[in-house]
Amino acid sequence: MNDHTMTRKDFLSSLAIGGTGLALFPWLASCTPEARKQTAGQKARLGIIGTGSRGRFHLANLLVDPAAEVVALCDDYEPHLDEAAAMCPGAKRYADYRKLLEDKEVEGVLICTPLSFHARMTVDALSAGKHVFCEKAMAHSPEELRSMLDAWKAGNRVLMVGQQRLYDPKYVRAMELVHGGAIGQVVGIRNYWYRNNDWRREVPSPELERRINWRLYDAYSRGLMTELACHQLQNGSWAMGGIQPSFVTGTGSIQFWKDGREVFDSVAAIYQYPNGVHMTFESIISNKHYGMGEQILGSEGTIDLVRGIMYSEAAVRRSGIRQLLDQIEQGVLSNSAFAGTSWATEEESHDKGIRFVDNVTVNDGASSVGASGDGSVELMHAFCQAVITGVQPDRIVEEAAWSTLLALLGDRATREGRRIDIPASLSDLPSYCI
Amino acid sequence: MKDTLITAQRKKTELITAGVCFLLAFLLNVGCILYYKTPFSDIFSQIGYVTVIAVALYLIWTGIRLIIWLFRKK
Repeated sequence: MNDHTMTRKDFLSSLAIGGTGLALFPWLASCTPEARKQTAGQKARLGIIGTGSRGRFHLANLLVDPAAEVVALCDDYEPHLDEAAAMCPGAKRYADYRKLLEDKEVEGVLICTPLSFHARMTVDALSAGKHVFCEKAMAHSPEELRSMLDAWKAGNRVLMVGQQRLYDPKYVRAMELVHGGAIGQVVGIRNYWYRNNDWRREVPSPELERRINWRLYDAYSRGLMTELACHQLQNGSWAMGGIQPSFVTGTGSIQFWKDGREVFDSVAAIYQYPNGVHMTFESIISNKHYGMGEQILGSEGTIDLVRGIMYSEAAVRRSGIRQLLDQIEQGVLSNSAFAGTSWATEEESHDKGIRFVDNVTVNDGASSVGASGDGSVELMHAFCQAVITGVQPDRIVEEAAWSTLLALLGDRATREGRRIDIPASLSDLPSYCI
Repeated sequence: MKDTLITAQRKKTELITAGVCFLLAFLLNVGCILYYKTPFSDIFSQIGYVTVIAVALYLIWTGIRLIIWLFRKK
């Protein structure tokens, strides 16, 4: 292991000694071993609203978390509720989330429903005195986002959002390196997410199409921007130290999956920060060759967030004989008939980079539920801790609100094909509500 | 199956051939060090490349000799 590498255990230990981590990432305070000791033996009594694939993913994590007790499950789609109930037979079943919110035993709720229900359910749950964990993205529109923030500020309940990267050691370590100057000045942020599947789920009967495949319809979802970009756009805010972009422009289309869906299957958005730095997001779901990528480009280095590798901009020394062999190889493989010497492919860096976390897991992006080792377990435990203590983790709502707003405005820019200005602060949000 | 006899002369020829190939590869490495202005420590650190190139040269030369031998045999 080198100086930049750490394991998950190292990560938790480093939080305990109050390194730069907690100053930069205050929401991780509940992850320290001390904080965990304070709530040892106590359990957060939770209800899950929405027991689809993501709800059951969280349920599976909560069932093995000693700080969690799932006491209620709610879904108006019986097969999903049955599947969740089979995992947690002791939990009460509800078909109406308002009935679950009346349940005095429930201290906190997880809202894992389609995007368009997030705001109403979150506001109702906070009003009912429940602590809330809401899946990302937070809201279906800036207006809904505003209503959620208002409801949260008006009460004293905990609100957390499913931005699991905030709890992923790989991302936390990467941001420590970025803010510690390891890659120099941040000059660009590149995000892409490529898949090759139709994003559809099996529908038992046609009338359930919109309920099951809600991601594909405007009334429920904002498509790739809220379902995928929302995670990656947060990286930009994080890397830029909380500074938000000034505007976004972009475009999108339904170019391959012409199956009646209403959301784009191909989008490209560019966000510009006040200092001129650009953050890009591109997603295509009919080609997965490049998979998923999140890269922070610095004047002195590059961080590949997905793979947990940091590269240096300094030229990599190559031996003379290696240079000769590379030149011979280039000479043999290059097609001089096409462009000649005036145009040549600029070589990428040969730096193999430094892996700064161990045990990096990557997946092929086929699952839209969740991946192992992505911070979801830590996030769930942090929510349990927050429910038990009643202490709101710092800045986590702001981080989530910004990533949602950037996704929503990016969606608007790609739909309208124009530049959309981004407010300087979340308090300016009402002016964006139409 | 018939016993095969490798003469002392053949062994000597092959050893000299292999040695010459290694020497050529070694000199190529030194030439590259001078041309690309890289450290002289590459004489040792790049010994793997030198060995691979020496083996490649030996195989190429053996191939050429084999072709010549086949033509002469006709």
